[in-house]
Amino acid sequence: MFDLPISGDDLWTALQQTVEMVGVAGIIGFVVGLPLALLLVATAPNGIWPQRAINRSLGLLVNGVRSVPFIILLVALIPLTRLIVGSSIGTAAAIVPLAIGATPYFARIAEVSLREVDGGLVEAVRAMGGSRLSVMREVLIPEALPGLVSGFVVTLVTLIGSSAMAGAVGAGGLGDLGIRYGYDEFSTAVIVIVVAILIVLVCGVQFLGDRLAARFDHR
Amino acid sequence: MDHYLGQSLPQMDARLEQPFLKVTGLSRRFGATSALDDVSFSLPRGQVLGIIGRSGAGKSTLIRCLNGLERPDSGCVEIDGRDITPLTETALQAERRRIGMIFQHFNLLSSRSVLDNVALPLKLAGLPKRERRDRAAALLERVGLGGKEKDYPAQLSGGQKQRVGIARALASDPVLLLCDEATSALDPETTVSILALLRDINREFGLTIVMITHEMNVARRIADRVLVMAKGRAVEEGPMRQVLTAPQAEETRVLLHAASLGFEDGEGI
Repeated sequence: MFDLPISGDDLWTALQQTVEMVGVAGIIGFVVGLPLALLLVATAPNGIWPQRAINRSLGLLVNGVRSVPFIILLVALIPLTRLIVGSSIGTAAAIVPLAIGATPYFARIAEVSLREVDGGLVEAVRAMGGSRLSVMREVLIPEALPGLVSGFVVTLVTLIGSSAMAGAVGAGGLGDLGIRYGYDEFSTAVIVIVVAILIVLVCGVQFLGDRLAARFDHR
Repeated sequence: MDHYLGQSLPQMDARLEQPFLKVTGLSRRFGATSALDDVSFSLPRGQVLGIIGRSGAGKSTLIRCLNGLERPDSGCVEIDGRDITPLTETALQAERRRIGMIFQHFNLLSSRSVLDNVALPLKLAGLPKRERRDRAAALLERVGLGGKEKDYPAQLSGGQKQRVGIARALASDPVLLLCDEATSALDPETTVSILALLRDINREFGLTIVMITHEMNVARRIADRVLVMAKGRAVEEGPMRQVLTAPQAEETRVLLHAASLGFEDGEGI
């Protein structure tokens, strides 16, 4: 059939690397991005804790990181990566820039979902004696949950795309396989296989995310 | 023994004579507009006050000052002898647990079941799960929604949602209930049943109620006293019967006239 320059094991390893990079970076992006989004919403002029200076600085930080193209972020963060991971190459090393890229990305998406929560609900919980923290925990997060899940799926899919570039720091992964064998060595078959796996991966993540979001949605 | 009685009786008398809710010289400005302009009134324990006025009269700002959701620029709000206006946010949170509030658009959390909505004030107060569920279930039974515990708010009608709102407001055993246009989103029949429920609760628990509405016919059904507002000022205040039969302010006559025409959406007057 095709004379493939790669084996099934190569594909399997690459898939595992992609899942590892995307998974870990996604979780970090969620765990750091959600509080960031809550802070952005709370400190906004009409938020539950209006703080102009904090809101402006956070907004600037988020926009700053988001405006750097990922391939530049990948290279620019090498010193930081070396500090955290101990090495600037490999799958673990790619997770640092991926997570730093994913955090403000998810924060902005989450911010939109959180801001759409009806202000009347916030008022109701404040009226029953809820603190700002209770408002976040009991109102903002649960009411925005379907949107937060959908936003997380968008973040994961974007990460799958970005992770292709992580090959530049020797992180491996499906994208790297596609570029090295498919593009550099003109193997159309490798490109087709890699793209097919990526499509299945993206569709799977989207499907599971939609199911989860629907389960949380009682509106 | 003698001196015990001798001291406690006058004290009890003083407590009964003292108004439960006393608002003095309340003012609040938003930029150039004056939402509240030197508003004063008082209300005895266990009575229902209807605050009536057209939209923009300052009713919402006033009712929000009563639980500190809105901070007045000046004046004070004394509840059971305690001024809440100088309180810090944290102290206010404790105070608000004793003040229930229901809303025009119900403001139920869509992510929680009916039972968990009613139990939320108790969760915030730190009650154990078992206890708050039992209490929430009993309250749902009381407002006529037994069997709806597991439903989500989206599955209920407007009247049922407001009943959940009332159960939730009663959860933490409030001393005061604030109603913010609580029947304005309901049809006339449902309005009557919700007002009847509020009146029952007022009698059953001796609960003091402050309700704002733009409809005189709503106030007439359950209020003992009425406060008429126009452009941020309290233009008339008194017992319901007296205000109905001998209105003093022009604004009161306009509102009464609108009510007699069955023409009350406030905007059209």
